[in-house]
Order: sequence, then C-alpha cells, then structure tokens
Amino acid sequence: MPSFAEIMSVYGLEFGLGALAMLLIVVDLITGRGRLTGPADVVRLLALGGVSGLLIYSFMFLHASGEVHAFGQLDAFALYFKRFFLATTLFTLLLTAPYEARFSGGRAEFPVLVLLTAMGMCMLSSVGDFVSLFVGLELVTISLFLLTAWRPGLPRSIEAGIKFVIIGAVAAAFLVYGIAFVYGATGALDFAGVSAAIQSMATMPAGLKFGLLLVLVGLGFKLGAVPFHIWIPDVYQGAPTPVTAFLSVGSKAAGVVLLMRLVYTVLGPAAAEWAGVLGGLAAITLLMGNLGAITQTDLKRFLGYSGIAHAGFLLLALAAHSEASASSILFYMVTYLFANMAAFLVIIVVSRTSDDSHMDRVNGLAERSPFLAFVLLVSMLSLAGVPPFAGFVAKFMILRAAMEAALHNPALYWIVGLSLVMVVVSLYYYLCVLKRVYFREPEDKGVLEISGSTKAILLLCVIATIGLAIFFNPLVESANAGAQSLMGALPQGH
Amino acid sequence: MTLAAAQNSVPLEHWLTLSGVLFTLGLCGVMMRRNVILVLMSVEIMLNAANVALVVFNKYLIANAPEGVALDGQVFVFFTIAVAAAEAAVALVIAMALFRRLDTVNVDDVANLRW
Amino acid sequence: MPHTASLTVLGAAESGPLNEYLPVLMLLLFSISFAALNIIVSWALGKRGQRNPDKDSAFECGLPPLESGRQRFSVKFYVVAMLFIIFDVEVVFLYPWAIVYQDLGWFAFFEMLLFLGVLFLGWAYVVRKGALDFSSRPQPGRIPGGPQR
Repeated sequence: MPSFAEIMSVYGLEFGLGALAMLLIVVDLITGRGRLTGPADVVRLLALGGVSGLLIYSFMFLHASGEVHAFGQLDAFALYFKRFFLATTLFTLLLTAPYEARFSGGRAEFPVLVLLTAMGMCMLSSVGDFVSLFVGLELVTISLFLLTAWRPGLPRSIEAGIKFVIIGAVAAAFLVYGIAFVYGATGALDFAGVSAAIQSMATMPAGLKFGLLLVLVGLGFKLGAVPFHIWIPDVYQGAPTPVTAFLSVGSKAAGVVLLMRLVYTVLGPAAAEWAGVLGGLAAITLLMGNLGAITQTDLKRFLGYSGIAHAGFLLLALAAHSEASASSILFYMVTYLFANMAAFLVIIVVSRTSDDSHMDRVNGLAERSPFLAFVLLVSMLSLAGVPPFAGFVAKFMILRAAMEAALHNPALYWIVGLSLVMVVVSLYYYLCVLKRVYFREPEDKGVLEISGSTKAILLLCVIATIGLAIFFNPLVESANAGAQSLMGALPQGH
Repeated sequence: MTLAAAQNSVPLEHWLTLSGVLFTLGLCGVMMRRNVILVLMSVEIMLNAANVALVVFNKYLIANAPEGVALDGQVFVFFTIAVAAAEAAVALVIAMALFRRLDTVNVDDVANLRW
Repeated sequence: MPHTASLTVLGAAESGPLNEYLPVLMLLLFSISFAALNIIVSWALGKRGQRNPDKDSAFECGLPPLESGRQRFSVKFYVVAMLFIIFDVEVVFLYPWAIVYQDLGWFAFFEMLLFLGVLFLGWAYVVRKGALDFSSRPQPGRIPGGPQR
C-alpha cells in the first residue's frame, strides 16, 4: 500500500492541475450566477496563471528520481514529458485568447476541459500499470471529444466531433481487448510484472502477440498512425483551431509517451521482434501522410496530413529502438511543438474574419503582414526539416539513429530510404504553401493587425525554432537523460 | 469459487470464443450500421467483450495459482464500466448536437469533410 | 447451489466440461415450456365466442384512446437519464471500498472523501447550471433541456 507522500511525489503535478480545474468550476459557479457565459477574464487569468505556476514549479522544484513504484514513477523521461505537456497546455490557453470570441458559451468549461486533458497527459507520462494507462488515456480522449465539438453552431465542428467519438471509442475498445489478452498471457497488469513475464518466456505465445498488437494499434490512434489515422484530417479541419493545435501536439505526444514506455520498458529486449511491425507501420504512415498532404486546399487539413507524416517519422525512430533514437524522439516533439503552435496561431489570425481556413486565406500574406509571412516561413521550413531550423536537427537525429540501428537490422535501410524520398515530397508541399504566401495576389489587400500578445507568442516560437537549431545542446542533454532513464531502468519483477 | 470448482467449469476457450464473438459482432456493427446511436451501442458491445475476457482471465489465473493472484482483472472492469459510461454520455451529447444542427443521426449524412 | 444438487440427482455431474452447460440448457427449456404452457392453457381453457367490432370496443372502460400510445417525449428526460447514469456508475467504486476500507485505514477514508468531493462538485455544477430544472419557462443563459448554446 503506497503512502500518500509517495503518490504525491509522482503525481503532484496532476493533483495541482485537477485542483486548478475544480477551482475554476467553483469560481465560475460563484461569480457566474449559474449562467453559461461567466466572466471569462477571471477564469482565463486563473487558468493561465495556474498552468504557468505549475510549469515553473516543475522546472524549479521537481527532480527526477530513479525510484520505480508500483503505481508509476517520476524518472527523467516522465519529467521531460510533464514539462512538455504543461508547455503545450500553456500555448493552447494562449492561443484560445484571440479565438475565444467565437465561442458562444461555456467560457469556464473550455479551460477546465483543457486542464483535465493536461492532467490526463501528465499522468500518462509516469503511469506504471495498464489500469492507470487506460484511465489516463480516456481522460485525455473524452475531454478532447468535447473540445472538438465545442462550436455546435458550426456543422463541421459537430461532424468532426462525431467522427472523433466513433473512431476514438473503437480504438479504446481495441486497447482494452488487447490489454485483456496481455493480462491473460502474463498474469499481470503492472508494467514491471508484464515485462518480467515476457522476459521469462522463450517465445511469445500467440495470445500475447495478438494482445500487444491490439494495444499498439489502440495507442497508434492517439499518434495518428495507420490504421487509425483516418480521423486526423477530418477532426483537425473541423475542430476549433486552438483545439486542433492542442490535438496535434498534445494528443500526439500522449501516444508517443505511451508507445515509448511500452516498447522500451515493457517489451525491453523482446522489442527486437517488433521492429518489423513498427517499421512497416512507419512506412505506410509516411506514405499516407505525405501523399495525402499534396492535394490539400485547407490549411488545417493540410497540417493534419503533415501530422500523420510526422507520426511516421516517430514510428521509424521507435522501430530503430536505441537510446539515440529515443532521445531523438524527445527532441523532435519539442521542435514540433514550436513549429505547429506558430502555424496554428497564424491560421487563427488569417481566418479571423471569415472563420474558414482555406489556403486562399494566406495568399499574398507577405504584402498584408510581412511578420506573419515570416513566421509561417520559419514554421513550414522547420516542419519540412530544412537546415537553418530546429526541425532539421530533429529529423537528422532520427535518421542518424535509424541508420545506426540499420547496421543490425538491414530492413530499416529501406524505410530510411523511403523517409528520405518523403522528406523531398514534403518539401514540395510546404513550399507550395509558401508560394501562396509570397507570390500570389491577396484577395483582401488590407493590412492585418496583430495584437501585441499574439506577436509575442509568435516571436517566442520563431526564436525557439531558430535557437534550437543552433543551441540544441541543453535540450539534447535533457532528452538524453530522459532516454537513459527510459532505457536504463528496466523494471524489476514484483 | 474454489479451485476444484474452477477446474471443473466451462473451459477458458469457450469463454474466449464468447468474448471474441461479441467483439466481432460489435466491430461489424460499427462498420455496417449507419445510425449513430446503433454505432455507439456496438462500441459498448466491444467494450463488454473485453470486460468478459478480463474477468475470465482473472478467474483462470486465480484457479491456476490460488495463493498469490490479486483481483486486478476484475477491478479493471470497474474502471472500464465507469469510463464507458462517461464516454457514452459525451458521445450522446455530441449525437444530440448533430441531430439539432443537421437534423440527422445517420453517419452517411455527415460527410462534408473529405479528402 | 441448487443446480449442482439437482444435477447430482440426475446423475449427470460426473465429468466433462459440457455438463456445466446443463443448467443453461435446462433454463432454456424451462422458459420455452413455460411460455408455451401459458399459451396452450389459455387457449384450452378460454371460452371462444363470436368476435365483432362492438364486442372488441372498450365498453364502459373509459374513453376511447385519442392518439397512439407511442409518444415522443421531451428531450429533458434524456439529460436527467444521462446524469443519472454517470452518478450511478460512479457508485461502483464504493462497493469494493466498503468491503476493504477497515483494512486500508484512514488513507482510504480520505481518498474516498476526495472522490466523493469531486462528485459533489459535479453535482453542484449540474444544479447550478439548471440542468435539473423542469420549469418550462425558458431562462436566458441556462441549459434548456440540454447542452444547447
């Protein structure tokens, strides 16, 4: 029986986020007199202040510990991702501010749901058993269902919501069914027990393989990997833009954190058998994402397909299965965060008047606002992986790790080759967007006014994207520490 | 249930067949039904198939090693039930919004977002 | 267990997994025969006479029905039903806790208090937002029978 202090030492941040969400509800109930439109400013400031406070707290006072409890652990890997999720949440709340006027109600509920999603995500980074994994994952998924359908007046928001709900619920059923078979084959629901049982087996029984495959597929849903990638374009396009940004970074990272924990820690040495499956999924995902993105005419949908392509890269790194590849995934996620948040904030600004995100909205953006055009340039080139930006360093790290791993597993060469071709393809479609920005005539020649706070956020993203390409060492070291704690601490048996 | 009774009972394969049939039925329902409510019911059947598997595996693990096996599989089922209820509530809210805004509960009618 | 006893009497509970299904089969047979028996008995004992519209009409048994019994009812009930389901299912965690809380001590007590506190906050939210209000008078800003914004 774990003590309260032990639980708080691992899940303290989650308690903080939960308490903050409860506080927002209470404040809304007291000040809002039960009406749906409460005082948004108080609630928003409380949410922003609370999340920033927790982020600062996590940097100053939280330290990774090697202790592995039955219910979870706060190793360097978990801490890295908790900070990442808090930063994502902070960005989402900041992105909501210029968008919020379009919500017709539920001003307190929106940040509350964002906070609860963040709580689930942070929980996922340190879970130690399948029960908490399932509960945390569903906390994330169910909150995101609601956030996706947050503009019920907009048919495409509801359509996105209903599609997300159906595919998400099926993925959850796959996950539980898979967990049931893993449980039946190993007799344990905690990661340490499952891992010990797998290592004691000479060969995996068919039931265990079946279960693990279903779990992988169910988690691939969050990541946007084949075969559960079909929700991504529709949901990205239909959801309110801040929610799309949250989904694209946070939900993907939630899938990544769980897949890494499972592949590196639970499967451990047995993961070599799974490199083929992961590599195959990576190849198909890369193809689907990159080829799908070429013909897109909607910016958010386009970024959805690009997100699938990025999921393919992450799966490639998972298939490589080395400490270097784990560390490269951690680095990749941070570069993805800054590039994506910048792109979505630009979309929010350019679609301010018409509420639609067709690519024509960025036509001639360079004339209307050179600053926004530059931000989009940096973001797109970083996503494509072009040298002076952080995305290049991240892609380079993944490919180098995959090439090293390919020495032992020659099949990986094919996937690395495919991914290189796909990088070229992706460069083409990212440049197509930039061509619109710099060489097309704008439909509306008026100068775009940007508020100071929006400018500050965009500037932060740009500085981070360029800065991480030059001064990548501190982040790489931190990512290495995370990867080491993930690889090094194979959980001991019961 | 005692050890002797468990050994003498319905074999594991039969339970797993039941669970597999339920899961397949649910999956077929999700893919073939066009009414959102029926699709959601099919998903619930899939989740219940997983619940059957969890409980049965737990029972057989206890029967095989009566001294040191916890009831964790059955505890998991409590959590899936609670989560499934929350999921159903949210799904129905969105289905209601769909009906109010677009006047349909047919999933084929909501296909404006494509390619 | 009455099933086992009856099986021993029948001499069928010796071995083999299929015997475990015997109670299921018996229940099936019993329910079919019970239903069949009721139909047969009422057919055999009931007096059959001439049927005509006057005889079939409701005579001195209240007013003739005005509309179909299958009415659509207000969507307000859906919200109440949904809220009931959610709060109802959460109680599932109280049962295992009630069995072992003496062994777990104060920690489990406060943990459950926290859990119920969160549930209570949810209830307060529902009440304050007027989701349980049945008054037909629409109130601005409140939820008229559902999450309509």
